[in-house]
Amino acid sequence: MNRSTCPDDTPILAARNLVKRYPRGREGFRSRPAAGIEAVSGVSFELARGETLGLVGESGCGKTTLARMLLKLLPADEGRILYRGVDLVPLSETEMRPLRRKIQIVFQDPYGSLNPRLTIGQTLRDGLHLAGVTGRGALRQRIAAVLERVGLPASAADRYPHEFSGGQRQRIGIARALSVEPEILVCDEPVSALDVSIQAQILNLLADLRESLGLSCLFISHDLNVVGYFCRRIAVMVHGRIVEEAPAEALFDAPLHPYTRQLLAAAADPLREVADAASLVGTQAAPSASPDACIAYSACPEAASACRAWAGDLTDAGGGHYVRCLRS
Amino acid sequence: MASANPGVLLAVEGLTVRFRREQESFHAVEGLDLTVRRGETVCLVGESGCGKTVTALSVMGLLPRPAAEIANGRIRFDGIDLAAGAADYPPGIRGRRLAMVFQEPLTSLNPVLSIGDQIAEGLSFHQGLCARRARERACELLAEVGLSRPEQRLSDYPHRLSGGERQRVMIAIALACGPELLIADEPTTALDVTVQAQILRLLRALKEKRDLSMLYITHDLGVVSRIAERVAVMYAGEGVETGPAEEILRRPLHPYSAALLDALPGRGKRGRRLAAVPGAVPHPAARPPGCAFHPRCPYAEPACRRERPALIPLPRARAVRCPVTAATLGGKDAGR
Repeated sequence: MNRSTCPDDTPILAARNLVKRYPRGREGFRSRPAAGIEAVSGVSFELARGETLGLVGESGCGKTTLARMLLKLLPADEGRILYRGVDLVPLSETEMRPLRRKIQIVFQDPYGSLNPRLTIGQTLRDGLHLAGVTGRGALRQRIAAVLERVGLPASAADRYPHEFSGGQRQRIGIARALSVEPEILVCDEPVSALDVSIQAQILNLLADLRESLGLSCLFISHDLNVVGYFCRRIAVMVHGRIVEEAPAEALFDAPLHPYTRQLLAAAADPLREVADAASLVGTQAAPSASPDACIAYSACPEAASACRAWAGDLTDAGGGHYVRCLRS
Repeated sequence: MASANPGVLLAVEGLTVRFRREQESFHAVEGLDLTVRRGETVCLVGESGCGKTVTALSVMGLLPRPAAEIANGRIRFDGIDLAAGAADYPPGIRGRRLAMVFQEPLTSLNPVLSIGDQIAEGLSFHQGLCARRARERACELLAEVGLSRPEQRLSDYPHRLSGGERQRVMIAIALACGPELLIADEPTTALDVTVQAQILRLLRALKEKRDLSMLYITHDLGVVSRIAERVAVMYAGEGVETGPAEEILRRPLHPYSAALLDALPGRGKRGRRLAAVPGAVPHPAARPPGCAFHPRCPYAEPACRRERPALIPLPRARAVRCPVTAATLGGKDAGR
């Protein structure tokens, strides 16, 4: 595939202090509207070319909001999204269109993300059309090629989503993303809806494609076993912020943030002797009421009183390991 | 035999469940044997569509009728036959001695009843408690399952609770009448890992305290390692392997159990291909002849295509439905 070369070591995708706020409804009739929730609250990361960055966090931590913002499916309230150094946030829909094919997404739910009334061919055709592929023959050829790439027969193009199993649908979702030859693939929980044996097939497929197409990936999951398998570098997200980012080995073997340690303790690895996890606080509690408190305060098993008044930034712990914690 | 063995609380023998749909019919569960002894936690493991939930519903007498019926086999709970049919499901068992926790706490709870009322319902129905006494008991149960400020939560509606709290309420409802056997159908699947760990710890603690027996249904081998004493692996409606949990996780004998474990991702496997199982789980209506797993099995021999293998008992309380691996590996301690 012909790729324009990126001469310097500018990250292919970078986020700088991205913020997304959702308004909260009124608590009761005629009361004042409550302050909004920051679903994503100042997230920065860099994705080098050909790299895979894993993003782990529990439900509600802002993973999916972040993914949607990166694709401009949701407008960012603050911050910048840099694609090869170009800020995407101020771009209009028209200006964005040629760049859309560079960044594609694979969604979590293989059932909800395909239009049930379109054949697979029609679904794939739309993206290709916008990417400038025209002519029946050329379209048919491209569709057959991309279906083959994800391990489906060309005849799949004439069938409807309900005729496929979950794993096959996820292949179709991947085909849709790849059809326009993107450089960056954002995978939002691509395997969490699948059975173990199918999950392995899809992870192998994604690994093959990443290799052969030189894709850069942002891989979002709640499952530490999946992220640990697929990603060399991992960021941990809590309540809209990244609290730790490190090479996978360092994160698993020497986690610095108490929340990461808790997550690792809770994730059951069947092949390992399991010690009973230390007291788990959970993250169900809403983001802490005090805006000055550490973001992980309500979820942190080791929070001290000083954490209540601490809102520091990620600090460099050496060796590419970054942590946002007063105590480490 | 349940009656011959007083330790056995639940004995499922040769259970076959038939589903009918217009003209065609198929067996969602085929000849399943399963026992749960008193005080034991047994995990029923398998991928979606393998018949785990249908098995649980058969035991509970909750199969959707007339679409599904028990075509063959026996289910005995403490010597009482449960498989006779919905109309004849023996009274005083379901909800009282046998209770179930469902996968989706949000859809299993009634959205227009307070959680206090939902817990109290079973108490007044089965134990004839008056409203005030049932409410007191509901409050104690909520405290027992670890819900904070139980008195205030009694009048809350399900939508006010988080996923983990809802599942705690489901457990409180199931435990209300002091069951001997708790069937838990993927109770933590919809939950975050930290909350999942909390619920698993709660179930383990309750089991100890109340001397419960548990049939825990899951697809997650990580959960199995945390809760199971014994495991039964299902594939396409059949039980393919049973044995102590540790043995099966460390040394699976059936090629399918082995494949499930090999397919798990983990950081130790980074950079290597996962041993994915080719193909997909067959629909029970299209179960291949012979061994149901043979089209996906790396060890399949010509005989596997023709004959449905029997469950072969092995030393150390194990059994496997695969003559190939049983012959080569089962007798010895040699690892795979």
